[in-house]
Amino acid sequence: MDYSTFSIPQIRQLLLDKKATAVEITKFFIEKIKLIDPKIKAFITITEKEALEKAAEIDKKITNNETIGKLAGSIMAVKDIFLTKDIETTASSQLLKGYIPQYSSTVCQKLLDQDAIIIGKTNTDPFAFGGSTENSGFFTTKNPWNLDMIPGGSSGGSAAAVSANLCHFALGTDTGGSIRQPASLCGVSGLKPTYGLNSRFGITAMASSFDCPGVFARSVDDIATVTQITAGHDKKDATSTHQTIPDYSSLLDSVNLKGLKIGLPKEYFTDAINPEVKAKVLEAAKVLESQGTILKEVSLPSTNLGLAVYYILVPSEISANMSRYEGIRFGQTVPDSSNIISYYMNIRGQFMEPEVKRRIIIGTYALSSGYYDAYYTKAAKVRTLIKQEFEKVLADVDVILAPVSPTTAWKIGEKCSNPLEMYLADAYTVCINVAGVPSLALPCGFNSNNLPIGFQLIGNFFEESKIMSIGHQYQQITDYHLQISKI
Amino acid sequence: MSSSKITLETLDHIAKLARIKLSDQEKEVFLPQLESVIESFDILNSVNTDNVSPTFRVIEESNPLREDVVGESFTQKQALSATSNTKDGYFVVTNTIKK
Amino acid sequence: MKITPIIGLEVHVELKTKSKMFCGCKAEHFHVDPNTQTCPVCLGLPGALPVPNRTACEWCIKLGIALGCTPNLTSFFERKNYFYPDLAKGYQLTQFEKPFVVNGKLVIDGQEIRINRAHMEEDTGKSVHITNNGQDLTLIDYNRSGVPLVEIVSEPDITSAEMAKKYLLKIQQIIRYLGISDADIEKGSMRCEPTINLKIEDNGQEFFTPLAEIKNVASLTGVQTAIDFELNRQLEEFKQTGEGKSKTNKTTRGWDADKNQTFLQREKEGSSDYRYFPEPDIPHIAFTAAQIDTIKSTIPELPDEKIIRYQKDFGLNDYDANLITQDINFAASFEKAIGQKPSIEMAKFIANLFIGSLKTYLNESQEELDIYKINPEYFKNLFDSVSKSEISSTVAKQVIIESYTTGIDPVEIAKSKGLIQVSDSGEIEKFAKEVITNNPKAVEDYKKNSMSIGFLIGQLMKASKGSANPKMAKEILEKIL
Ligand SMILES: [Mg+2]
Ligand SMILES: [Zn+2]
Repeated sequence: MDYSTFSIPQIRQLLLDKKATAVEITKFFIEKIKLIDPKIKAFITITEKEALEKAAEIDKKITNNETIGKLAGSIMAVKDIFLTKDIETTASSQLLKGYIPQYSSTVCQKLLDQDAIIIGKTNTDPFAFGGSTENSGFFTTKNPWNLDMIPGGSSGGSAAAVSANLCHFALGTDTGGSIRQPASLCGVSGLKPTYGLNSRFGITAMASSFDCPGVFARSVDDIATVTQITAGHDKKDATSTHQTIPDYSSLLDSVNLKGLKIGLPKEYFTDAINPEVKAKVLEAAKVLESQGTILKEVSLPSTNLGLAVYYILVPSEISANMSRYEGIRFGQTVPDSSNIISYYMNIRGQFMEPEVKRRIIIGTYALSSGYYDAYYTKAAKVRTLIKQEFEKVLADVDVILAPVSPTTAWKIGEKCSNPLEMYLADAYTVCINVAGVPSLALPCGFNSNNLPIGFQLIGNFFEESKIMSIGHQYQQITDYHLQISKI
Repeated sequence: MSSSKITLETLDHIAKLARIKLSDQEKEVFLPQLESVIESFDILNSVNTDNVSPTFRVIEESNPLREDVVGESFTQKQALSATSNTKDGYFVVTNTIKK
Repeated sequence: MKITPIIGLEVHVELKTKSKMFCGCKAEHFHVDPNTQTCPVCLGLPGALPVPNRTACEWCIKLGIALGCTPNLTSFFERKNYFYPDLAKGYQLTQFEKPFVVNGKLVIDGQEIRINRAHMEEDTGKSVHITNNGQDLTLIDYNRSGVPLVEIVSEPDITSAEMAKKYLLKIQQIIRYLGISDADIEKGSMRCEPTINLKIEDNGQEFFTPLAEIKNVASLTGVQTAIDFELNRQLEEFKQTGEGKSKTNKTTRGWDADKNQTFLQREKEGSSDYRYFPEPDIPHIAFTAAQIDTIKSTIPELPDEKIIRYQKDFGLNDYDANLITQDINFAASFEKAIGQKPSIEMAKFIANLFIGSLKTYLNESQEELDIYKINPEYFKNLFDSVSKSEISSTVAKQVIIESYTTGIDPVEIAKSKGLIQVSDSGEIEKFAKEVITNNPKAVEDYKKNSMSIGFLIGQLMKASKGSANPKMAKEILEKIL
């Protein structure tokens, strides 16, 4: 039986009805991964042993008629920047090669406590610095829809794993589009929640005021189920929300599309966007219009400032967040150096990938004396303006609908030579992180080369249930999210 | 402010501040890349931000404080488990006061 | 040539909270096995996040208010970036732009010393430098990493090493009154870094010598000697080089307690540019005026206020008031002993017992004064019998200690030891007659020279085992003879 086509609740039901055991399900996915992953290389580590142990544990619970977790039997892939106790965590960087964490990230722990099964750790750009997985210290993941193409990134491994049906859901992080962009380039669904909805504790930090852990799955349905578990305050993360978490799954049909106002920001539908992508995204809007929603052109005038704000503030925070990687308490070491400064410089010079060095240097520069006000403070002020624009527009319309990526997946190596061009690919995702609002990326078709295209539904702060309800209803009348590449 | 050209000296100074050793080839590659990136920041100069206050955190829920209670700590073994740089219960590095 | 020292002090104080500043590890780290009190947060492991300790923040504000500072209702933490192995995250969480409390002052010998700020930060780990078969190594223990520190920054208003020492003692006394730290310089729970230069006025011209910050001074006397040494060194150097202060020539010097001299310390490279920016992992911290008032209300009466009150209400002199208020427990015991609304006479009498008797006893026996052993009743009884001159003040000084150690009423002790003064003339006359018959020679002498009565009085006192009231003894002897 192909267990990859079942939803999370269905898998749990299979176990309860004794139609399958967790071990059978786990073995099925391990076989599938061994067969398919060598082609796409989504995984850095496959945790066969741990997965089978966990599965056996669940089956034992069932035979003993003990209650099983809400995610029992579901197979999850975890971006390799989430710390997993006793399971190697590399952040796809040579710096952390061989690092076995002494603790687990809160989000992973919450999911394990609900009997989800970790099948492996997925590839990403190092420390999530990038948009294609090409910066990974180990290898580049390939797009399941076309093996010559990038899967997007930074959470490219997780997106590819879901796209190729190698798991039921996968964890990623979205700092400037790292969930939404790979989701749409791989034709799966992905949620970037409101900043602070999911705990960041135990996830290697990129930009602390931007990072949003989130989930990939085929359907919004499964995303709701998983987010139900991950969301909420964590006393170990002072920036995690104290808001009470609604029952997302039961609210999936709650939003009435009739008369619902959807804003289309004109700055997101310019000629800078690939015509095929533009057409498909507008088509998605039309589908929702056919359900009685009202489409309305809106304006987010500061959109063109988003990248500059993002690429000042994010590297600045990165430059400090990366200082702990100096080879003393964990990670790679080098033989004794003449003095401590050269020890630091050797470790970091030898094991940091180029993009890691680039971002630390940009950030150090932006924070260094004489430049701080011109760059950091200025960017932080413009951040206020961008946030205010979103609040203004979202007071006028219910949600914003926009493309995720200006193009479909590009050829591996195509943009490597020019980081700035690579950064431009984030043009339609970064502003959402600058503002901190939630956004749900959904598949909405394919281009002429059969490469997936996605769009995003952007809601106001903590309106995940609203955008998920709209997305869910969209997926009831479309089947793009069910398409599977033939590999 | 107009984008200040990044000299090799600046790059060396910043790399030292950030404790990253760069090879000459890396510097050659990075210099123009950093320049173009930092140049792209100039777009912000056109924005009037007088009496706009900066945003450092998008969500500001008050009371991030924890009560003063002792929780769990690592054992010495756990603390030292992730590196080979250890000696007699300590982490060890090359002498820090040595020139 | 007029020379004025310009001295500012940075004082770091480790708070004795139960847990560390940003994690739940134990804060007390003195004589603990290395790296046994650490966690992802204070080890700076990947993905770890700081959550600030409420008590530490409140104590910082409390201390600031006690130092006359004004609280900032909204405050936040910032990252101070520099690389050093004992700094786990590669940045220290501290407060730069918006500290909890600002603009206070202390008055030392009538001179005002402005306090710029008291801010909250975290301590670093400890480094031990060793040589291991020819190899120079640094061992690091992160137990101290993340322990709450309050940094108190003075303006450069201090004008002598002696004043610096008094300023430190005052801060230490206030901290101990608040009970938020043992502020022990030898143990390192209180640390002091003076920044020093000289103002030199020479026929109408003004010069300033380059700033020097002095590190690792580990004792109170050390602070004084280090400052004095540095002041002289700078003067000598100026006489030779004539180099003046500039933005770039501030140096960091270490204090060598063995050689009793400061030496140039190579500054941490690049540490000059700390790249401060607001800590994104911790939302800003806001206190309401009401919360501040609650914190204020936990501040006890501070020494300076006590001294004034003791002088005003109990007529103590400045010196005695200072002695009694040095330690809050000693002052509290004194206030317990004198009871409610004591007469000035009684308060003074009891003050003398505390200073003249108890303090000496405690110093010799190295004991802490136990306030529960102080019984106001006893002190009152003792005062009454002394004023009725049943007990001499000398006897009072002895018996109060025995009373303190045994818990017995001092007057009872005096009685049981026959130390009560006999003021009954009949009694004394018996002794007088006895003495006169036993000492005919002395009586002769007295007849010749009335001044020699002293000997007879002495004999009478002896006969009465010191219990006779000397004044009456004299009168009665004179009467009989
Ligand atoms: Mg400090
Ligand atoms: Zn800790």
